[in-house]
Amino acid sequence: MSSIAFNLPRSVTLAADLALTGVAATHGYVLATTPGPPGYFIAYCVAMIIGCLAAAAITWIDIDDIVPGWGWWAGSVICVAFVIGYLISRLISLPGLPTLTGRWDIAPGSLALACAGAFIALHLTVLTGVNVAFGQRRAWYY
Amino acid sequence: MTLDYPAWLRVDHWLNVLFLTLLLRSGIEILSTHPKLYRHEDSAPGTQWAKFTGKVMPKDKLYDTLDEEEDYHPIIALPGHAQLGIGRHWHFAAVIGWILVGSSYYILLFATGQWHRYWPYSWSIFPDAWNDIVTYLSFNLPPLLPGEPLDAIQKLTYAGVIFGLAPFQILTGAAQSPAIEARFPRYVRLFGGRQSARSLHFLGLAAFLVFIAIHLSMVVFWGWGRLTALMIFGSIRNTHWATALSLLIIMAVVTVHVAATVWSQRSPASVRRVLGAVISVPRKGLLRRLDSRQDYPRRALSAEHRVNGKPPTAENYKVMAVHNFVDWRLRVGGLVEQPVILDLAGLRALAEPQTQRVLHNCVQGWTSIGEWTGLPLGTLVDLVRPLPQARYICFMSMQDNSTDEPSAHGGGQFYEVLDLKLAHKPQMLLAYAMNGEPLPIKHGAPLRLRAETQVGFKMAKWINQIEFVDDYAQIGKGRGGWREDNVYYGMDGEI
Repeated sequence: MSSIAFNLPRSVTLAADLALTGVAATHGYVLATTPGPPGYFIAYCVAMIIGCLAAAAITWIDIDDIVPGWGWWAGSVICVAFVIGYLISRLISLPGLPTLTGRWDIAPGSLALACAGAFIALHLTVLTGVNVAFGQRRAWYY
Repeated sequence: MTLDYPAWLRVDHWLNVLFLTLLLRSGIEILSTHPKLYRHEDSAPGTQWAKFTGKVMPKDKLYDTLDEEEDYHPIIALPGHAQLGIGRHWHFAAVIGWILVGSSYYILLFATGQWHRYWPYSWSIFPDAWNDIVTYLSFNLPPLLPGEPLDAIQKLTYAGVIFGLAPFQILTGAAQSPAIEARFPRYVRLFGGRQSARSLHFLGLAAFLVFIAIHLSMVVFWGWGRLTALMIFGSIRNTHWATALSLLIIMAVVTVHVAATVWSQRSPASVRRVLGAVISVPRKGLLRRLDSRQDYPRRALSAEHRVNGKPPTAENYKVMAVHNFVDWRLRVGGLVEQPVILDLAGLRALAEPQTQRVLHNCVQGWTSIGEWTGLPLGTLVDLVRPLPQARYICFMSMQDNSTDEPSAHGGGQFYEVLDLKLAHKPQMLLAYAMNGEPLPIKHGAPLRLRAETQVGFKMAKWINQIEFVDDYAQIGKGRGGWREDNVYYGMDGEI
């Protein structure tokens, strides 16, 4: 076990889910404010929103310590996918979204990136034993 | 009103840097001695919500909280290497300096009208602050508020730190003083209890670290030379000189830290003497006069009262313990008119037993609640009648740290000295029972001291001798107790 460790499963899960909700919310905001977005971008945003919210919800399903873990892994996969998509959209000119290319200074993108990074970082702390997530019990005796 | 950077504000800023960093490092030293944080007053093993130690304690043998102590590196802790006594001296001395600087800042802030720089005049500051965050997220700098030196989010943040976080740290720190807890138990409950106050104090430390990281980032983003010129010259000029001078000031602060660490490591006794003289002023002036008024309900008693210090291992103690201490004798003498030797029955017969349910504050930071029954110390003092020159009471323990406590920082017989003026204070007790049972061996059987306005180390356990003295300079190393001699704790235990 890590030398630094916390036993705050609900707080950690809530913080992680807030980060996921942040990713979902920024995608919703971008979708709502982008004039004439291409179809694939709409599908991507809707998938991200549903995926983030579903993953967040699964982290609270109190069946055992396995099912909530699926939510965490789903969240990490979504966040990593977003980070990859973010980088691609800035490096390569995507059809229908030429204004994103080279634009590293768009605030919703930075916010979503920060949220995704926060979620992945929190998941790493759970995997390394610094934190425990909802559904897990800290087994330390002393 | 011009919201500028007057000289007093600049001086206070840099003094704040010094005292705050001393507080942070010495606070980490204090944490290291019991690097676990709890929600509940019993500090029960396994119930911590956070731990900062890799130690795993055994389940199959007696251990005490000294065994749980950690050894942090001096880079993060002042002075580092498990020196709680010196860490406490630095923390309390630095907090006095911090409070003085903070008080001067508040007074001058309001006297000169500079408080306007932190006062949110309109609800619109909140959407403005959000817009500022969005601007920062787009890697741009937001506009300053009209006629003011800060943008909206900066204004709110500084106001929160200066009028929220800083007083919060003072209040949660005070809530950990045994004297304040004993006199004002309800005040401590405002924070959810003693352990919640300790946890909140730690979270405040973490908040300051986050603030410092963001603050320094902001100075870099806005221009190190420009902002340090404001904080050194009071206006944006000579930015190269400002950069150089700011680095010099930071080097001076680092030098103070290094000097404090080296001094503490090489000569802890002189650190204790010098800083102790500073600390004893508020300690004796403000906290000494507080009386314990604790009366916790029976339901609050800790199922397992934690313990610090291991029982005597001497054969004669074991023999006495086997025979329920019928052979034990308490010798009370020194500068008194009527020295006495008492057995347990004789001690009990001196007065009606007094019972108190109180919070025990270990100097390490953990707490437990216990019910103690015994003889008021004042009754024994009245019986032996101290001579006019008697000023202190020395409690001698049967514990020998050379053989009984491998985790102790030194050897020799344990003793503690108490100011005679404390003897008649409420809830000063020579306890022979705990939670309705004879005093357990690990809690000091057959007799221990309970001094409820003091930290736990002052409450000597396994007592077999009490001496009234006019001075303690010739006892042990002359610092007023075994812990004072060997771990450099302060002689007075009100905080």
